[in-house]
Amino acid sequence: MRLLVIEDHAPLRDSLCRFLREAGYLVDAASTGDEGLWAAKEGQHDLVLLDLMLPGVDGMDILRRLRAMGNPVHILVISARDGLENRLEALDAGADDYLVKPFPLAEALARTRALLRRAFGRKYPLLRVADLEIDPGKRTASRAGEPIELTALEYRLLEYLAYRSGEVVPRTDIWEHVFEDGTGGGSNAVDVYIGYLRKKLNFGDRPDLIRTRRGQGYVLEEPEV
Amino acid sequence: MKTASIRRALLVRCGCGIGLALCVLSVGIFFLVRQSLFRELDESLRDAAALLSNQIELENGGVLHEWQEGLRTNRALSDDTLFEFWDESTDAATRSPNLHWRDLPRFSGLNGRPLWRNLILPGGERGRAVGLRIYPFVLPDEVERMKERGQVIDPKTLPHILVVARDIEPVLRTLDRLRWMLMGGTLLTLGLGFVLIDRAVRSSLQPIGRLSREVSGRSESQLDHALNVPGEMPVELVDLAREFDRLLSRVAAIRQRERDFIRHAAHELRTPIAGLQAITDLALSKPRDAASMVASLEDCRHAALRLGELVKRLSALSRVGQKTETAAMARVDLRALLEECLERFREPAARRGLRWATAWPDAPLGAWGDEALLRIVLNNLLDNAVSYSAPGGEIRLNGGEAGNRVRFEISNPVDDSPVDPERLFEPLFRHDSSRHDSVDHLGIGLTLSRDAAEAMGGTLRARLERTGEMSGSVLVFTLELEVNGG
Repeated sequence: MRLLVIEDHAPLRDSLCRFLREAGYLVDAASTGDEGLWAAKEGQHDLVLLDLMLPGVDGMDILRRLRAMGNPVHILVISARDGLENRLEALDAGADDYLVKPFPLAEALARTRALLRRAFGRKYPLLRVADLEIDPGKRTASRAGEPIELTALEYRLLEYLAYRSGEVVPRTDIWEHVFEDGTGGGSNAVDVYIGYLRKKLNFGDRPDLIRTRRGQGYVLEEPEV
Repeated sequence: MKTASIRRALLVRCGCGIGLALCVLSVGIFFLVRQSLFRELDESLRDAAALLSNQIELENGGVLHEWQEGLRTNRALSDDTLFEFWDESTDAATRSPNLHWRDLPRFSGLNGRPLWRNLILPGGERGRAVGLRIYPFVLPDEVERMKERGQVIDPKTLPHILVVARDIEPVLRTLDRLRWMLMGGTLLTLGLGFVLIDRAVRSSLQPIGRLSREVSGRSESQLDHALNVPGEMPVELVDLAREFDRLLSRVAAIRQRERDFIRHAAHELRTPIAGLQAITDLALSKPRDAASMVASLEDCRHAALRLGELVKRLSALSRVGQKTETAAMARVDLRALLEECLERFREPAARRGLRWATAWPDAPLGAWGDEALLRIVLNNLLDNAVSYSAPGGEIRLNGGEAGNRVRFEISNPVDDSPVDPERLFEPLFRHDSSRHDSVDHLGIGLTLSRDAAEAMGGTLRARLERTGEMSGSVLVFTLELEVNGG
């Protein structure tokens, strides 16, 4: 999952980004409105955390421009403006949630998870595919009740596929949403990590939950009987 | 201390006024009636005296009192009137029958004129009398007869004093009755008047009561709302209510200012506090090594220092709008002061590639102001120009005198500026709505500067000049002060 934090106050931006990264997300940061708008327009992010008072382009402008462009990214507004009119204005302009400063980072994380669930049409906090269960809150995975040890990148990959279970996920999407820039941008890296995942998920004689669609991508789904 | 009461004061004053008027009226009526009765009495005495003075006749060499014959027919004269004649030549007295043997006081006016006196009658009653000198009358036949006898007597040699008196006890009893009636009437009218005045005063004071209830009945949240003045409110109270409303509107402005300040302060504090909270949340979110914790503490310290600076500036902002009572006004050389302030901005301006252009008169530019306040204004204007000028632009400074005003202008090119430059003076307004991370520009410098300019009796205005579509705009600040105070 790749998030974008647009916030000009460095202590808050840096701490928030680091906290989200430690929670397992890929986080990009922007300190000005222009920078943030440019990054958000690229469409590589699953969620944008957007401050309203920004140098350059204002946060409300970014919100309106993204929605005017038809950008469907979920946006969590973080703002010092606590008035009802400010919240209504932002929500009516297309924000998905509004968090008033100051806020605990844990709450920002919980709202991030909630918005990600909503982004992928999920209600239940646990992700289930056949006998595979993933808990994004605890960042754990288990199959048939057996816990599975995963690295951070493997977990990110599994969680991303689980959010989009039943859907063919192109390799490019996996690069953009799972891999940090410079740590694995080639299709080979994706295939390698899919191989690692398969090995860890299909312990014993468990059926393979990840299916390869030649030339299209990968699907995490319940195997056909 | 006893609280003064309008109702009581009106009641007492109206009562005293009416009481005094009634007393004066009653006394006036009494004396008019008394005067009228006594005039009537005096006229009746005069008539009786006139009648009696014609009743002494010189006949057959002697004086004849003819009235003695007429008394039997004139009952009024014999019953009500006491009179006595004195023959001044013989001192013989002739009395009316009802005097019996008693005498009346003997008196008359000068030269025989009638003289009225109050006296005690021989019977002990109070009376009034008229005394006058009279002479017997002589018929022409008697004159002839005196000539025949060769003994002509001049009536002037036989002067008589006539005193006619009447009992005035009935008149005095009538006056007594009148006095009691007037006193009773006065007291009754006064009592009734007090009741009516009290009701009228109470009725007149009802609008004050309504106004008082309107004021006292409002809740804390309505303290600065305008009064609901009823249509039938008396004109005197309408003015009072309007003045009260004006007072409330001033209170409302102050409350609004306080609310704005609290809102601004809360708003400004939220982000740094959010930063501080984020740093601590992150540090405590999982076990970390000592170096990481030290780094977090260092971040916390920086954040706390920034917060402290912010609070200091917000404290300065809270004083915006207050009168600068301590302004030490004197004549200041604006040009010299500007040159001095300019020194610290030359380097930051050079870093941004900004150029300076000045247009000053050769002579010193005197202005009436407080040097410390002027320094605040100039530093803020220069700081603003250097910080927000478009890179590579030219900052123009010019000044001059016009009449009793001295004018200083500073202008700089800007890429973008608010449509209404007056918004730059709003507390905490920042063009780009950002906190800029640094605490140098909190959006209060220009607010403080305008406040300072006004405290010195001057003005500080901003305007935006369009210089053409390609070259953007120029933001111009104009400071105007008086050349001489007073």
